[in-house]
Amino acid sequence: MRTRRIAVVGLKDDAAHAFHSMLKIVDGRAQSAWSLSAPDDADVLMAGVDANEPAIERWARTDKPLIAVHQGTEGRPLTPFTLHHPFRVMQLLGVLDEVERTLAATPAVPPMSAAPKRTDWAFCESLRLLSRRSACGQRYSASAPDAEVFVQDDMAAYYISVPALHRLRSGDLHLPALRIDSANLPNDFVRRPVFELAWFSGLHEGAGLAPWLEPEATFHLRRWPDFGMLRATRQDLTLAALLSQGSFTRQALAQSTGKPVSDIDRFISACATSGILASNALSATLPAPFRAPTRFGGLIRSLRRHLGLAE
Amino acid sequence: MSADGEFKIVFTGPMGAGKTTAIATISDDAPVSTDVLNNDHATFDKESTTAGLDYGRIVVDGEMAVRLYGTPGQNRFKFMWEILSHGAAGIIILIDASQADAIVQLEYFVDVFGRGKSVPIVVGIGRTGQPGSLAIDAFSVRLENHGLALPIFGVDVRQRADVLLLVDTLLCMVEAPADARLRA
Repeated sequence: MRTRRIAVVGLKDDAAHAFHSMLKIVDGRAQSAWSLSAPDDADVLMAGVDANEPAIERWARTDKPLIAVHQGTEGRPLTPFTLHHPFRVMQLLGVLDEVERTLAATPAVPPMSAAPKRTDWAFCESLRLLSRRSACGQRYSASAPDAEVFVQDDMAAYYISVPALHRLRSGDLHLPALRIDSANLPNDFVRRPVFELAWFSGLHEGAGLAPWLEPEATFHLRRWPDFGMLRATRQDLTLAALLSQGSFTRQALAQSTGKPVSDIDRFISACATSGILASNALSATLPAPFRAPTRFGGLIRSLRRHLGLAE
Repeated sequence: MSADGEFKIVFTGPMGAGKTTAIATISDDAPVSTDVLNNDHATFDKESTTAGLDYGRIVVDGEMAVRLYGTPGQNRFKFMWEILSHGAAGIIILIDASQADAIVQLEYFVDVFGRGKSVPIVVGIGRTGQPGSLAIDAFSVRLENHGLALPIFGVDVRQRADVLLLVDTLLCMVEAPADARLRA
């Protein structure tokens, strides 16, 4: 069994004590053995989202897994691995095993700064980096012609003008990387959930799959996005329904849904940017052909047509 | 689909969550309701509440009907829940985010309607914009603590598009291969 090192920073006392106790319980039950270490030596960092620790800042510049611990009703971090305090042993075990699968699938992890950069994903990359940093009260911005967005570093919200929001949702707003900005917020900007910014920038940012994703991996959804806010298409719903319960390659999804791989890539990239996607290069569960059961397949088609849902 | 060929969608959730409104929004005809005077104003302050069931219908292709059932919200009418949900193609749970115990209600209804079944469940959370209301994330985090990843959307059931979003999501889950169905 492989041994992984995990460091813990910025957790409140009760959460840290709970974690240390749980780690002993997890010993022998997890897919790998876990030992505590200093952040500089660790494979994985567990960090409180509101902690302002230099170790988190340094960690943010790597591509090593980060388990973000949040609590109360504060917004969930956009990072892929999260725990809501107080968490249970089985939840910790589930996250550690998922981290282990990710580490096993990517044995050589280059630091983020050494990875080749693609300018068409600069905004998403910067948002992703920001989501791994600890909050220290700073604000970031990105400007495009006639449009600007501001993001608080606690990732609780972003700010945008209403016309720019329409452009973001329709894919007509392409932003450069976020930069620190101390300017005051314009009065006519609206406060929106940062999940929305992550979703639409991931959906529309560039051609192909987001550069930090492995094209041959299988993917599944950790959770559904709030399509009430995002206004889903039928294709979004179909893909989410499949990916919420199975792990599939891009090609299998394209085959199953009859959609081009480019459409699949956009959806997967949006999920990845929003932190709701899990990938696994080890297993390959191919979906059954996506067909409605014959007993009521015709009824569902007719119902959709009747309700004006047909696409 | 139930054994007798009926395709039914069940709307459930606590009193005042909008089940009757949601059914009325998409039913072909005005839904049949079994309202009685509400004598539980402490739980939800409205004039009447459903005692037996709400029933709506969507006729497709002139002959086939999709039946929409709304359960009573109050726990004292719980005996109706099992009856109405028997053979359902899917369950839509509606929750009012402004109610103090909204998260507990969600857990309760997911447990009652999902435990031991593989029926698709979709959750609509209403009144999320009201002061003191919980964010959608709070609901999904709580269900994830139980190992559940259900679709949870912020909706206004007075808006037809929002009710249709819930129904369309449910249909996508019904269409998904059987081994990809949600298990609560």
